[in-house]
Amino acid sequence: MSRTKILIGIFVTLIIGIALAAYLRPQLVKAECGRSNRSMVNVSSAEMGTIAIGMACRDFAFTADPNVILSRTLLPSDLPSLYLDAEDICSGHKLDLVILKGAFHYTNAVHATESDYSYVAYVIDREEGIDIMMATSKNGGPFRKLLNDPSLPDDPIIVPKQSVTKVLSPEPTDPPEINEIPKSCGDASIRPTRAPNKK
Amino acid sequence: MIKNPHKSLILFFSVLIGFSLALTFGPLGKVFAVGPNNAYVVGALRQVNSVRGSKAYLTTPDVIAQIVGLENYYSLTYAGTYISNPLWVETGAREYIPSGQSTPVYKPRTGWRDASGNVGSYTYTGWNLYPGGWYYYELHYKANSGGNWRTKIIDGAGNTVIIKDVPLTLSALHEVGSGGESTDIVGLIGDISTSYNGWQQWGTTYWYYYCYTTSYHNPSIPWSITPCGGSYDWTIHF
Repeated sequence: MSRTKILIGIFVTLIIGIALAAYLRPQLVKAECGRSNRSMVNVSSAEMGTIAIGMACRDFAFTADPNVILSRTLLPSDLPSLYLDAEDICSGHKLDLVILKGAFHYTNAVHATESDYSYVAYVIDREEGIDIMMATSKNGGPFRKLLNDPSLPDDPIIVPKQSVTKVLSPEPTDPPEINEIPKSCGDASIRPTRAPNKK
Repeated sequence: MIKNPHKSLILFFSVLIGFSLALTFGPLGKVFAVGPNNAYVVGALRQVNSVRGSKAYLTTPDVIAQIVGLENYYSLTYAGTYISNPLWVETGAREYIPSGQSTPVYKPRTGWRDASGNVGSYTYTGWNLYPGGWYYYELHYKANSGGNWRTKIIDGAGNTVIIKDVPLTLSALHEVGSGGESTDIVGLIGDISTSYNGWQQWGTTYWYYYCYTTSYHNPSIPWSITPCGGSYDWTIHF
């Protein structure tokens, strides 16, 4: 076989390979977008960043891959910046904080809302295998402390915050919480259902 | 045809290189997200007066996710406001398949959009819910909190868990509703039933029960909503 025929064979094979990859690519994207099929328990921080991009793909539209600008273990001092209280998390679980930077487009059809964000934060529970919390920011201000970047500006207020004096009066009284139980890490049991009634 | 033993190796590596080139540098090598495209059906009531709270019994969606990468099926009860930049707080159940597993689980969940237009969500993993089972959900403005809204769930044993105090920084909303929503249009939910839908007016502690007066749905999906029944109940399907 001549050298020319070999080269043609290599060329044709390359084309077939590229075509196959192009055909398979959408399937790969589907697998990356949304959830990871493998356990998160022992993945590295870098891999957790990739998993978080898959979560962002589920929640937002973006045309370019976001950058993982923070991926590490969640610290107790992180909670206030993420609107979380200590009781909101299972402290016995391994929790990760991942912050992505990119151009995230959010659509919520129920509320006829479209918004654009530059930052998305996820708190991921490795044992549960999901994101337990997601938060967004346009300018990064809420994540200033997490990212150790004092230059990040505050987000604009689109609906003026209500001062105490502007809160509708009379200020309501909270009903007592009946049989309130503290949050826990839970177990495999399933909570009993509650039949509808008017009380 | 291939007499040289090295030729098969050359062919094999050529295919490998082709794949690598296409995946790494080709236009298809980028992760191009299509993003969420909600499927939803919600029966709602618009209020001229201010809403201080919303409550409902809801069934937990019991359809197993059919599509890899899809996990957000949830029912919701919400209080929202329809202005140019709406704020909302909603609570319900979330279905997802934990990574590394194949069986879905169902957990209480709260979502919101605050005064800066930022959206957020929180899932409480401590409670497992029955698929198809009834649970009571309630959300209301939290007094003297500067604008926090409290969401909670009560189970059949009468136990209450505060799902989340949401920093909405707004003291009254203008619409209530109950229904279902999926973050992916291909993730249809099936049936969700809701009963004893109620709302609370600002300044009162009395719960008014209501039937929906309008409904929202994604126009591109088959959907239905039953007429409101005597228990202020309806079932949505999509």
